Amino acid sequence: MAELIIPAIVSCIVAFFTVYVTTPPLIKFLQKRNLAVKDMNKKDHVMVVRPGGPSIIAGIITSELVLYGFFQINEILAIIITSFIAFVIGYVDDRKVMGGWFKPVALVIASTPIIFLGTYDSNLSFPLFGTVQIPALYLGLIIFMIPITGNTINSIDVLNGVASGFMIIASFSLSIALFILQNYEIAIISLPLGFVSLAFYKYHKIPSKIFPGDSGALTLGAMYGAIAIVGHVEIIAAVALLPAIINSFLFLSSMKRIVEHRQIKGKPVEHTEDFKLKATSDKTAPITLVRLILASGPLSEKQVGYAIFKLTIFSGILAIITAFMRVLI
Amino acid sequence: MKIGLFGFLFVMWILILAGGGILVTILGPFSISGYGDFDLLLTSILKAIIAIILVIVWILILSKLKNWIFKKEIKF
Repeated sequence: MAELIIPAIVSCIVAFFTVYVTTPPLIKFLQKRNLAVKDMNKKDHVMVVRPGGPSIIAGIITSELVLYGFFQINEILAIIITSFIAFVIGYVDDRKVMGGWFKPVALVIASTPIIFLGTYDSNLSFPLFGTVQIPALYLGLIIFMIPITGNTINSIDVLNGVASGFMIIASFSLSIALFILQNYEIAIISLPLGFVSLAFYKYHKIPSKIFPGDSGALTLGAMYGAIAIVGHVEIIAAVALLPAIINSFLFLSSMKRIVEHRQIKGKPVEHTEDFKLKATSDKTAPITLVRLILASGPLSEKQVGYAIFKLTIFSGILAIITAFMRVLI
Repeated sequence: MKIGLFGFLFVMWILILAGGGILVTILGPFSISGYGDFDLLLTSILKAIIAIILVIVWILILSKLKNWIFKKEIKF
């Protein structure tokens, strides 16, 4: 255990400072190239640059390579390659508007390194009840897991700071769960995700200086999914991700199909005169987590963000309880 | 609103735990024999079908629960 402390500290420092240092020049570069979009939730005409994916993937790759220097295990390679493929897919979507099916289908490719490197265990562990061996079914689970986690994080990236803040809470909850399960190596491998998100949150929090874009959100989500698989904590990871899963579930159950946000005509949320967010009564608009939070009355963007964070902390606690329940087996 | 969302989260968690119990107790010991080399393949296919059915049931229960928990909020 003691020999793991130095790699853990070094990788966390590298993860945090890579993103912290590379994001400001990235912001300037994107500003020069005029790669900015309007922040729809601001009263004034505020333009915010995107995507922040390049600094996020830089933080992930450098920190995971540092860890690979300490322990040469395929799990680290699987996480790096999966995250990088997700970044490329997201970057393509950032630069060129693709159809609603592009990301879920393309992200299947991102899950293949986990299969080819054999960094999975087909025993699915459930809290209290034990494990079930599902070799063929588990391959399907891997193929579905990365697109689901990637798109789920992408779908919650709707307000300033929410995607990165959400990822901080969810990934640290997952790391704690991995420590509880005494899966120390994967727990340490998972820590950079939280520190990358933490550093990016500095620039993404309200008022955002940069948006992660599809490349950033998909990278964070795909890495989270990859950690869940290589760490054999799929169920715990799903529990920590529940608020984002609810968001996707509400969206899909109201729209009845996979569709890009930009293709939806009805608006789920509108602004009051003082520019607070307010749920609309538009029947054609999707039901989303933000819309449900706003159902009881208008709130500021910051208040909605904090409401999402509270839900994420709650699901993080449930995930940690789930980890303790697995220890009981 | 917020209590409703926390409640919905909690119910989802319980359903995940219960679903896990069903998977382990029903799917775990389940196996087909008497088909030689095809035993493993047939067992996997059947396990996959049962798992998919369970997921569909899980989604249907959640849909009903969503409408019940958020009946005041969802007037959209």
